[in-house]
Amino acid sequence: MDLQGIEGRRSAATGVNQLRVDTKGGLMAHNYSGKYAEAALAGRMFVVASQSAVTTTKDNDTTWTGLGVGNPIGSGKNLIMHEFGWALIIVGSDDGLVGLASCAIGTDFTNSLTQRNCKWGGGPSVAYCDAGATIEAPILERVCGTHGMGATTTEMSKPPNIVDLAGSIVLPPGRAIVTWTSEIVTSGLQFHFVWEEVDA
Amino acid sequence: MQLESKVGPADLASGSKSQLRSDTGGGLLAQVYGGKYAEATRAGRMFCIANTAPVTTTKDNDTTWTGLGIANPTGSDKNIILHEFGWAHQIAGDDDGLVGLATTTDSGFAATLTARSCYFGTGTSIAECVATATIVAPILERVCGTHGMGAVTTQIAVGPNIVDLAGSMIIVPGRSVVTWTSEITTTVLMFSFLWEEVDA
Repeated sequence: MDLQGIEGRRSAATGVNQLRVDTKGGLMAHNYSGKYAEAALAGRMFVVASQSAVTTTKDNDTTWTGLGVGNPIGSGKNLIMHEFGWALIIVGSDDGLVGLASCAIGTDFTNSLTQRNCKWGGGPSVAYCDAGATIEAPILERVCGTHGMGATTTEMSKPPNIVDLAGSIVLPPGRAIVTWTSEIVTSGLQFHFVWEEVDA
Repeated sequence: MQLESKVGPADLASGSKSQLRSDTGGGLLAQVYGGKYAEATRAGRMFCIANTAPVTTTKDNDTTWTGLGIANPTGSDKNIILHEFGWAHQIAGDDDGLVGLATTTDSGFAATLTARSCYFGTGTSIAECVATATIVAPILERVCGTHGMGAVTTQIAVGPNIVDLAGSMIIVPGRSVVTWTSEITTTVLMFSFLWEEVDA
């Protein structure tokens, strides 16, 4: 069956209407809501944030600290990563790079932090969220920004350091995503992740 | 029933009927038109609130909280879909720290600030908006940026501190979202929220 639309804008009445196409035959569509609203309303979206400033480890240190999200082996779910946020809470103790790295979840990665459903009461997450673990050497995958040592008396504020991953990192069971800094930052940074969980 | 589309551009006059267009992989080609919130706004589902003067913010998880908050009152039969959060200094900050978003219950909230429909004259929000309340200890969920103490004579402007939540935070009846700062700031910051209300 051919699905057809009509070129041109019109005043559609409530009820059944023909679809609209552009002059090249492309469907003209309108957003219904925010891009994550359907998933959040369905209870598939989750969030975790550092509750206080953390000390981060350097580079690919396997005695890692920061913020990480792991998908435990046998979870039966894939974790679709949508957003990563970070900010300095005080003057940085060193300058360097903030990124995201991935690794196997390993045996030391535990669920020591409380992740939250983006819709309160929307069901539990399968993810393990941790602020420190002995992990296998992580591989840096995303370069997300620079952290400095600038005085807090110089700038009024810094815009959000929020990376729209938009589903471009998928963690199958057994994999984890962890924050990565090129240098040790002592009790200076806080992070958050937003993700969606779907059947694997 | 099988729906079909056609590969390749058409050349349509206004009002012509056409098959929908797909790429060579079979994906439907669509063009999103209008602002991403235009449909929801025209339907009267979008609301906003902003501080009308700088507010003093409380530290961390203080339950005698001040800032800007939105609650979905128990029994409203609506879900609040949060789309956007904005924050800015109006004057030089008096402390440095982190700006974030936290969630809690609707306890302590009242409709002391008036939410505005984004389509003037359409609809009334069910949200309770406040700048101060005694609340249940909030939990930080999003890390949204760093506030500093830089002089207003150093920078000509600071870019928009606007977080595109894109519907990734759903406030169900009985829950709320509140601004969160790691330190007290005194009559410096102003905030705004943009949200959509749909049947629960």
